[in-house]
Amino acid sequence: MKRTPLELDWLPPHADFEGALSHARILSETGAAGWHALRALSGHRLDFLQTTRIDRLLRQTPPPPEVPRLRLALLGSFTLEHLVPGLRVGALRRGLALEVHVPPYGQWRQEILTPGSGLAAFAPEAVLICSAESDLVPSLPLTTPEAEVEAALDAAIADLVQAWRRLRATGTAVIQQLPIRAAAPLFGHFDRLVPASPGAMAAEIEHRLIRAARAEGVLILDPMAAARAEGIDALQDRLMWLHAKQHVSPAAGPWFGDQAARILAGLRGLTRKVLVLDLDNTLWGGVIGDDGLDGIVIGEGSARGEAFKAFQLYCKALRERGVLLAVSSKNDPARAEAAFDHPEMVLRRADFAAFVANWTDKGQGLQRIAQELNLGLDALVFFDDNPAERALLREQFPEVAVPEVPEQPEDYVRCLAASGLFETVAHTADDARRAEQYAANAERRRLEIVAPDMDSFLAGLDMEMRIGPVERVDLVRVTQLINKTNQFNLTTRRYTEAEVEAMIADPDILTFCVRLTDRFGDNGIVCVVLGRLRPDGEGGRLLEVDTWLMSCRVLGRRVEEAVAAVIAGAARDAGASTVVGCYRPTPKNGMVADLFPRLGFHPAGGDGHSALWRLDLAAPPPPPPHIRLSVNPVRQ
Amino acid sequence: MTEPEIFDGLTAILRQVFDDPGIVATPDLSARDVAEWDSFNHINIVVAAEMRFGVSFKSSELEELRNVGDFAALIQAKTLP
Repeated sequence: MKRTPLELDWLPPHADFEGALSHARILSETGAAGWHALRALSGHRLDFLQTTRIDRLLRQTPPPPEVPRLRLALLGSFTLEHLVPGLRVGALRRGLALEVHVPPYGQWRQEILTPGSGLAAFAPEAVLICSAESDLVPSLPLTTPEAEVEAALDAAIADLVQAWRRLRATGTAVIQQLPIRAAAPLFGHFDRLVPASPGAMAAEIEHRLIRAARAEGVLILDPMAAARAEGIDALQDRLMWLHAKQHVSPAAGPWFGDQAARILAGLRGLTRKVLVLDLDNTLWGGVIGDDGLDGIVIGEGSARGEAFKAFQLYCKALRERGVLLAVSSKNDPARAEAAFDHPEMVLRRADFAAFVANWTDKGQGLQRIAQELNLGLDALVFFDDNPAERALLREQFPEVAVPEVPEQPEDYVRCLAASGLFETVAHTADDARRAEQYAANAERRRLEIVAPDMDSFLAGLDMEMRIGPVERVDLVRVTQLINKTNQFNLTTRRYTEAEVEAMIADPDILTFCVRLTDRFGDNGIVCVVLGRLRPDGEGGRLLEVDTWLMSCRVLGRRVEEAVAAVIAGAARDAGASTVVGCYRPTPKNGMVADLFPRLGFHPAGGDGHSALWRLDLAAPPPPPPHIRLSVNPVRQ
Repeated sequence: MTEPEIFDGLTAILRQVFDDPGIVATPDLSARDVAEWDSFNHINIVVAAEMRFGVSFKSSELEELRNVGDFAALIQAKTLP
């Protein structure tokens, strides 16, 4: 009996796939428009043949220059080539251009160990290791005592950890796919009590893999999480496994590729930040304007009310995780806000970082939300039960992600979770505090309105800046900022965690990590600077600013002036006579085009892609008066 | 399912798999006649046929196929009412 393979069911079906593909084919002959047409097509519910056909065209369509790229090596002992189209199209769906390398069948371990191998030459930025059960689960007699089983499992894991470490040492991110647990039970439920049964060993291997990954900084792809709900046959086809050594069936390839691509997109910071919610029939049943506070359906008392409550609970948990919530509703603003006074309401008015209720079109509302939160439209997810609103939004603003919301509220959570739009590769204390920080920001803006002038506003903020080298404990958050900061980012160079780790160990690289607190709370790490010490060609040294980025939360507070003063001091202490800054323009970083001249740097040439600026350390800029500075010594 | 319906369905599959709007499923057509008909595309054809015709194949059945005619006959046998 064949089951339907796992599908991309959170995406809308395409009404005319053949027509759209032909159109994309024509456009791809002329340039960048072809890539954008294929990206639009990838946002639909595609089967594996459609995915393969998009991929075939994608390979002949160079991505526009501003599109982020990633080199991925796909490693494993089994057939993987059939998963490449799903991966590339999954990445395309997130605006990421993926180049994929698959070593010859069964040779990935040799490739890792051999200098100058195809893998080494490819220099992957991310590696996905697809392991099958039979790769990791040792073959032992069923009567093997528990201690011996444990030792054999430890050895299997140790072997894989060695491979991870070799890869990590080259600066690449490593993603380990947890094995698909398809082995048939031998005893039944009793399997779990027999240490050497394949089922018991597979479960043990999974636990150990997860613990090892946590310790080694390796990411996890867990296809079983979905397969447990849908049934293993939706993920694996036994015939194709035996016949072609495909441990994921071709028909589930688009689904598998999308799962992996969301992790890859996370590595490049291409993850969504805001969940924009409609109100009527999305957060509760009924229409608040017509039915009133007593008439809407929410909470205990009916299955439908409980379904809306479950969705609100999930939204609230996302907020606690660091996802911002916003409202976009066609409603009377006062009545919409008052709905949150309903006693059964889980979400409260204060949980929303932005709240737009009016009668204008939702596109304008979403633009306003993006503006208020200082984010791009590509940070938004729009969740609305109304198919017409969704269709209009997709048409107007293709950069907003719009999941295909199911008809029944009991399916909302599953749809939002399955879409993977908030998939991340790290979770820090800063993330968990984000919602509070945004709320505090709104408070700061209010203060700005009442302060008589800018200086007294800034003085009233009572800011304290702590600045010091990037330490190992900062690695996760610093890497996250490097990969997702677009606006205040002078060079937009992206680095993996392993690359940043290598930089902090390099004596010729000065790193700065800036934390800011004010009277409203701790903003966490708000700024990262990486500088390289080089000979200046005249017997001395200069400090070249490789990376300088800052969180938009603290713009307009002269933080950058304080940072510049600290960099200048550190550069002088390291024996440099000059700081050289580089600005590389992108479509998003126009706001820092004049940063270096504003800070007293002088033009020093450049080319079509970048402008260079220099600061003479004989006359460095003074720090601004209203920020208290505490500087940890820079490691030498 | 009738023979013409099966051949029409197989033609549609072959056109998608090879991105070739001119290809037609005929009884004598086989992997030797199409340059891109490698093992990867062969599996795609089998899986697409399973999905389209709502059938599933055994490995022994697949090993005996020589051409599209054999494949169509196998599908017809499986879709008999």
